[in-house]
Amino acid sequence: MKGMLTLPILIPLIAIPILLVIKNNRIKRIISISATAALVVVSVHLLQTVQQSGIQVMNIGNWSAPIGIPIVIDLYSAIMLIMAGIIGFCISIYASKNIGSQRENHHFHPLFHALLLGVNGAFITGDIFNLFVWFEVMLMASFCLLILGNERAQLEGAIKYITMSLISSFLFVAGIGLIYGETGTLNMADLARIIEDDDAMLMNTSAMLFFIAFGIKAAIFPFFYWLPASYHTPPAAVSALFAGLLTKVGVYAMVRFFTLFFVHNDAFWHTLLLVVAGATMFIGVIMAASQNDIRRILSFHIISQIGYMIMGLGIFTPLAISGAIYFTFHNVMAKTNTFLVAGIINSLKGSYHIKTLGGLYKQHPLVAFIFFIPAMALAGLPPLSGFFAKFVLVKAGLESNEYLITFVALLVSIITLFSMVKIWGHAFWKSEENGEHDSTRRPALTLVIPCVLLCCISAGIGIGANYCLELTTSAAEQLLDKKHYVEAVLKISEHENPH
Amino acid sequence: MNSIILKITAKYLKPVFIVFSIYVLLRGHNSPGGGFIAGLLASSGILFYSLTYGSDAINQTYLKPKSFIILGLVGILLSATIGFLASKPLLTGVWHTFKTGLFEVKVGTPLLFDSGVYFLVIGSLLTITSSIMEEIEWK
Amino acid sequence: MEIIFAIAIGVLYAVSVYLLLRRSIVKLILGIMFLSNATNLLLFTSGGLSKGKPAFIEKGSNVPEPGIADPLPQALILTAIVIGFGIIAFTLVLTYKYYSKTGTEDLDKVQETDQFE
Repeated sequence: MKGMLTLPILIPLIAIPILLVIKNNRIKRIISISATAALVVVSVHLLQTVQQSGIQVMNIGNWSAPIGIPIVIDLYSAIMLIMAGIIGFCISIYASKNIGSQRENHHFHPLFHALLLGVNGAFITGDIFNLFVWFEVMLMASFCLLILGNERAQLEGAIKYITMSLISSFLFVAGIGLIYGETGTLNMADLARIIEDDDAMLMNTSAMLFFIAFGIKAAIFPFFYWLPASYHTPPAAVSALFAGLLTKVGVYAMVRFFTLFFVHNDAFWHTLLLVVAGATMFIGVIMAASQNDIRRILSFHIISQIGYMIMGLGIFTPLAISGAIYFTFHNVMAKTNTFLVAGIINSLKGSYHIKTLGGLYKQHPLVAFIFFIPAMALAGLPPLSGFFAKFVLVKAGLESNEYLITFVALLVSIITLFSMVKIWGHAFWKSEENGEHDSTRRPALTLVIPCVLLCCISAGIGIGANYCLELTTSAAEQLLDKKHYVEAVLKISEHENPH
Repeated sequence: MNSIILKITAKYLKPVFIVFSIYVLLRGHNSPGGGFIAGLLASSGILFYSLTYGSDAINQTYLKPKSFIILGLVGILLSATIGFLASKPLLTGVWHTFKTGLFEVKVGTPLLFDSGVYFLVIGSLLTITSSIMEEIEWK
Repeated sequence: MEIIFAIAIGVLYAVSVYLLLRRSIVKLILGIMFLSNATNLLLFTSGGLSKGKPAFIEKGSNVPEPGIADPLPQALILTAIVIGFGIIAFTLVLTYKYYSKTGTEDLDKVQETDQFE
């Protein structure tokens, strides 16, 4: 049924007015959790549909493809939708305890769903201007979520975040303008058809504009400074949401653009992507190693791990892109989880600073366990998901003789392990300095459940890596075989005529 | 603001703005006009009024800003899903012609969509300005 | 005609970059506004300019006249303007909030969240 394709955007869109009308916070939470659960179910169903019957296309408003805006779901989009759904579900549970009734009264829930709306919309659209609009929906919601609570640090973070986001948005529009002037179309499939091997100067200019615009959103080197300045200011649920989803939308757009239509001049672009990837990984992790606030350490790790995804794109073999997709999924699960656990630690101890924390392993073994799993997954220890993600990327790098980037990736992996061990050693193993602690204090169940869920997913996609990698490999093959995509989108226009 | 001329003008201009905005809204589908511009017109009428009578005047007009936003969202959602429920793609226009002896009127989901935009624009503009006016205590 | 637009866009971008690099937050916002306008103008120009031929189909005919203005860039610009408008309003309120909380609008003092602890 074609109508299914629109549900990833319809569900949050229906949830928003309902959540605006309702006054009771308890009912709001229930609606929010059930809407996100529905999103997970729908996106899993979509993945199955795409697996069985190929790329799914629907033309919004029944206007056929190059004129109207199509919704296109291929395997990559479907995987990303599942990822967004799971994160939304976990955070809606977590937020019901963590966010506080003050923020809930000031429309946390509608904003949260607006953010999911933007993210899902960006994943399924087949039109570049529409992608911009979804980006803006997502950013507008994230601006509001970031400053909700009105603390000084939040306002400061927001000023930096908003300025950088706006600059990137305008570069994005400028790129769209140039590409429209050159090709006369904004439809992704149509663009892929037109820009076969067009090496015109203007195409490179707009490719560069898009690269910078998505680069700022994905927080790659050298555009990442806004991220560690803003991500640690809001409450843990919001930080985790941002850490999980926002930068990955930038990565998604970059992968989509550079596999679908900016495939000309690849010697230059792939070298640039690899250089940027290496620098992003290395600088991110070095800066993380020097921090002492858990959330700032984790923020810098986000940057560092974006590098791995860009590395997969830069190597540009099916195996590498498959690794990048798998890495994105693993990273989102593990990274969100570490942010959520950081929030639990703060709720128990009232601090994020690893020098003042201590003794958590003894007092709260469960919290230690749910931190250990994602932290080691991020560092890449087998049999957790991070190991296989990095293994595939390293293998792809060695196969295509990119030894330098492979070396950097392995080195960064070790430093990642170091800084995870640093948090572990300080916050969990070290005995607490002032010695007094309230052992009756237990973390709330609503905070722990999402973390356990994410731990299970991290371990699950590690243990079931064989199946997952098969899936991501076919997603990567679908991405690289763009003829398939073009046909799926443009062929429909012959059957369905606009009214 | 305490100018008597301004007060009287604002009082009588507000309905004119709103009626004109509805005219612009309704002619929107085939001629210049539409929900966004009409929404801007209507909200500038209301804002002009509240600039002279103080920030409380915004909350006293017809509906609260938040209700305008909800109304707008629901209108847009309805217009999107009516086509959807008739098993056509989302946002497909569905038209129906009403014939009464003298004239015939074509009504369709795009009009509903435009009205949704109209209320949404009014709602968000009023929210923005009323929160700023409350912040700086505009009298 | 295009050359005049190109120069105007260039000047607007230059002004916006200059303002973005100033230390005051208000000037930063002005810079963002200039950036948005420059980009909209770029979008408009790259869609092709046509003088005196609005994007309308004459009454009674089903096909547009040849050489009419391309309606798509105009629609895109309208969308971009609306988005820009919303964001500028948001940013202005944010700045006001920040100013009333800290009493400064000097960007060099906005560095609490970047400090190493």
